[in-house]
Amino acid sequence: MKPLKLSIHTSIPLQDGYLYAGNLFLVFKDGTLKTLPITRVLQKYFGEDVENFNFFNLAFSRNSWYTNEQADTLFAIENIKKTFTDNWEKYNGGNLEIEFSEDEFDSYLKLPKLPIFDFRLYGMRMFVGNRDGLFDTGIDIDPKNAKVSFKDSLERVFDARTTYLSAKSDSLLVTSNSDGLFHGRLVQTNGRLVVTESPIRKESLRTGWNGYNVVNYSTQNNFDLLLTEREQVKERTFLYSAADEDSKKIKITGIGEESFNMDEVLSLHSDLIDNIKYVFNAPKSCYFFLKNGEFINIFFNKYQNRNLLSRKIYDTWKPDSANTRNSKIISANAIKDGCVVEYDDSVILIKGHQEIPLKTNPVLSVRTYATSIRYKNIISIVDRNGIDLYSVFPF
Amino acid sequence: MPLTTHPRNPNQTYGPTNRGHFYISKEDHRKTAAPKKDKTRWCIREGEEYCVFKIANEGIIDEENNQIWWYCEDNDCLFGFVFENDRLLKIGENEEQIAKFPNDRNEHDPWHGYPVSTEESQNRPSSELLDRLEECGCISDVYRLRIEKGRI
Repeated sequence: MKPLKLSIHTSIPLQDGYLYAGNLFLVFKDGTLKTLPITRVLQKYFGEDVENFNFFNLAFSRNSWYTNEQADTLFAIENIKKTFTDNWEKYNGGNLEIEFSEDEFDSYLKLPKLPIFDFRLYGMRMFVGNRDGLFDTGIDIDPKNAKVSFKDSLERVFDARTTYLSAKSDSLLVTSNSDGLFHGRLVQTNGRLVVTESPIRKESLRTGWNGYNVVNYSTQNNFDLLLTEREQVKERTFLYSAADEDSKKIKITGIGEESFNMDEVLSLHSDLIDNIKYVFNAPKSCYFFLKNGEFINIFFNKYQNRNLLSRKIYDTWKPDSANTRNSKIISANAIKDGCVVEYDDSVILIKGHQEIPLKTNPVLSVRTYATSIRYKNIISIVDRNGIDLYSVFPF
Repeated sequence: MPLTTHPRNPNQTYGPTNRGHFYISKEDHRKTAAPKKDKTRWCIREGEEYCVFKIANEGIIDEENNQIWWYCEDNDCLFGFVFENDRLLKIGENEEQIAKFPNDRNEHDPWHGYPVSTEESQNRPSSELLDRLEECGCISDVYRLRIEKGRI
């Protein structure tokens, strides 16, 4: 089943977009950042049609509710599942297109020099990376109308070129290419990010989370698995959306004292090593795209005394489409039960050995929200026409 | 600018460009060379390698009629590519889309070059060079970002 799609067009072209706490944070080519609540997008499209508004609101705002324990029970009732599936089918493959003019957005922030290489929202703060470094500001969200306000100015907290960011458990991993990988920490509620002066690793192209451990990619086809030290805390030192009920309070106190290189991780599958074209990870597993066109998914998520206890090949698959097998991979991101692959001139959703084309042109940004509570099955893609949001069918 | 082929001179060089510079194709980077771990290979013909060099060497003419070449001060080299129909053409055997022409030669020697991956900073045009190239439409915002992030 195809995903539901919302296309948002803006009068000023976009460079990037990020979904956080019910809002779209949009980077415009004129150097500004503006926000837009998802509910406003849906209200504009559906107007008085409450039924469809609610259906789409659930799909794009609380996608996780389809797969929680309550939903398992509810969708076990055949008629309910059928009604839901029929409704999804009515809209999937179609395109809900909505135009927004400049004055319809909420907040406004002047950004540092474009292009922005990456930006993240985490712990009710926004982090923006560009050629001049990493910038940070706090945000507030009004629970009544989801309106965003910026608490303080966007201030530089790190001065090396910042190209990739990822966040979890009070930590922000800051990738600075050949300057290395740095560890940023939220040490104080409402305080600015504190970034370590020395790099954790000397080379970093991007990073990912494998549970609470870090995967650092030095190239598109090589990585180190960095183990973290962590502790359970009574209270978080950062703010979080009131709607997110994750109760785990874990703080990362150190990264990379112990690590495994890719050869060690793949010691049981060493035949793969010279054949890897692109590798990336999901929270519990790692995807290898091989030069012969195969995709392999390996779990390696248990460690003890410098031993990897589990590195089982979970899935091997050779796609039908020559494009998916042979094209150059620019980026790949996990969703709950699959991944989204950005090729040189297309974007494909891969779920259950099925390839679903999302775009057939080069795009500026592809994002998924695999570590998010609410948006695990949401994809956002920015190109010259605006931003497209996709909600992936949950079953 | 489309990829075209050019004839070789009797002394094995190509050119000159309108800057008076020559290019020589190095055997171990050629499409027909045996694969070596530390040598990238072109996937285009020798005469087309020169075309990539010529585009970078001759550069663009700005509004004040100055010729600006695609020289990167940070890495002391020229970076070249072929941007056509809103896409960067694949020019290397390993899907590379950017070529590097290092300025490690004596003044009158011909240039040489090879395809590179932008994963490493010495193989990436500086942000300042990319600003100029994007402004004059030599590259799109999409590919510029991919280069800056080291993804191609």
